[in-house]
Amino acid sequence: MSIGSIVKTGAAALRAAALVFLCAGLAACAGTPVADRLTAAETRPDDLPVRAELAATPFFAQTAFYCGPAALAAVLNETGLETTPEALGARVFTPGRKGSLQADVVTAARRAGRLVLPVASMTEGLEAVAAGDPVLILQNLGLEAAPQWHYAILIGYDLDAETAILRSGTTRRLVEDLATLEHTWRRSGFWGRVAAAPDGPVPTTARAHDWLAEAAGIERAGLGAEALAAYRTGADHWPQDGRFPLALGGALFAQGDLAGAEKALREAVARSPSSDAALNNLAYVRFRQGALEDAEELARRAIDLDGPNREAARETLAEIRAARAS
Amino acid sequence: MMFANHPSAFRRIAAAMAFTFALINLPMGAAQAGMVATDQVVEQSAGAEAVEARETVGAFLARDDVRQELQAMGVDPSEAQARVASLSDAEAVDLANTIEEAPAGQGALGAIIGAGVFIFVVLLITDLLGFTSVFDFTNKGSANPS
Repeated sequence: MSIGSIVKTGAAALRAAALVFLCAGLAACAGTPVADRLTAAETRPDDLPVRAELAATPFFAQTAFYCGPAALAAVLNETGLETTPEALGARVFTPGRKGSLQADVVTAARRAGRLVLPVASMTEGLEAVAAGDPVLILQNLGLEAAPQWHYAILIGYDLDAETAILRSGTTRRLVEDLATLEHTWRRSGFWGRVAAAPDGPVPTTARAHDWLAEAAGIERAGLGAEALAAYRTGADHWPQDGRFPLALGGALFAQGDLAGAEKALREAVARSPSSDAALNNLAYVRFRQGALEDAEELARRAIDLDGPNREAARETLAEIRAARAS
Repeated sequence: MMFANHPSAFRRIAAAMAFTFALINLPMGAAQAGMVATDQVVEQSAGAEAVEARETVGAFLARDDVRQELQAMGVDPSEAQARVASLSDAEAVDLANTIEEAPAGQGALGAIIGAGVFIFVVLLITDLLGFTSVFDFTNKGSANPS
C-alpha cells in the first residue's frame, strides 16, 4: 500500500482532526476574499473573461531547487528571448539558500535585457493572463511557520470552475483551486511579475513608473542598446510622460551621443516644463556642446523652479559660468 | 591583521575608500557630473521620502553588504558583483536589510523531507483543506493530462 493511498483512506479522519487544529488556532488561516469575489456571480468583475488559458506558454520542468531559473526561463522565452534554466541558473540561484531570491530573479531578467513588471494584486494577475501575459509568481506552498517558497507561472484560470492553471515544478499543467492559489500566493504579498521585451509590446497591466524603473535596471546592467529601446518604447506608450525622454537623454549622453541627447531632452522639457531635472540635463548637454549662452539660460530656469534638483542645477550653472569666464 | 578585532570598522573604512575610488571612475549609466541620473528621477517621482543625491554613500555601503552576503551564500564573487550592479540604490538598501530573511524559492520538490513528523502532519491537514499545496497526492482537484 503506497503512502498516497494510505493518506486517501485516512483523509476523512484527517479532515475532522483538521477542524480541531483550526479551532485550537494552530493553523491561523484567513479566508479567501479575492477568490470569493472573483467567483461569485454578483461580485465578479464585468471586464474579466470567465476563463483564459495561455496554452502556448513554454514549460521547463524544474530540477531540484531550480524552480526560479525554470520559471524565469519560461517567461523570458515568451518575450522572444531564447534561454534555458541552465543558462540562467548561475545568475538566479544562490547555493547557500538552496533557492532563488526575488531580487536575483529581477536582476537576471534585467541582465538579459528584459523588463519584469509587477502585478499589483491577484485580480490584476488574472487580468494579465486574460490579456495574454503569463505571470511569474512566488508562492509559499507551506505555512508561515514551515515555509516552502516556490516560483510558478500563472497561465490560466476558470472562474466558473473556481480554478487556476499553473506551470509549476515538474507539472506542465497544474489545475488548482483558486482559493488555494490565493492562500499560497498571499503569503508572498502576491508577488508577481510580467516579462516584456524592450521593444514592447507593453503589457496592459504595466505602469509607467515600473517600466521606467526596469528600463533603468537594464541600463545599470550595462545593456545600452536595450535600455535605449525600452526608454523609447515607454516614451511612445506614455506620450505625456516626460520621464522617458529624460531617461533616454541621459542614456544617449552616457553613450556619447550629444545631438541625440539634446533632442530627447528638449522633448522632456516640452512634456514636463516644471521638471528641473529635464532643464538641468538639457543645460548640461548644451554646455558640453559649447552652446554656453543657451546652457546658462536653461540652468537659470532649472534653478528658478526651486525643485528637488536645485543643487545639481546650481553646480551646472557654476560650471557654465566658469567656462564662460575663462 | 591590524583590524582583526574590528572587522566591521575595517569594512567601513575599506568601503569608504572604495567609494572614493568609485567616484573617480564612475561606471556608465551612473551619475555624471552635471547630469541628474535617471535613478534619481525614478526615486523622486516615486513620491517616496526625498532622496538626497549624497545618500549614495549609504547605498554604496548597502551594495557592499549585499555583495558580501551573496558571496557568503556561495555565489561567485564576480557574479555577486554583477547581480548587485543592476540593483537601484533603493533596492540595494532594501535588500541589505532583508536578505537574511528574504524568501528563496526552491520549488515543490524535497524541501519538506527534512521536516519533523508534526510539521508533516500539519501540512498534510492544511493541504487537504486547500490552505497549502505541498504534497502532490493531496491535490485531488488537479488534472495533469500531459
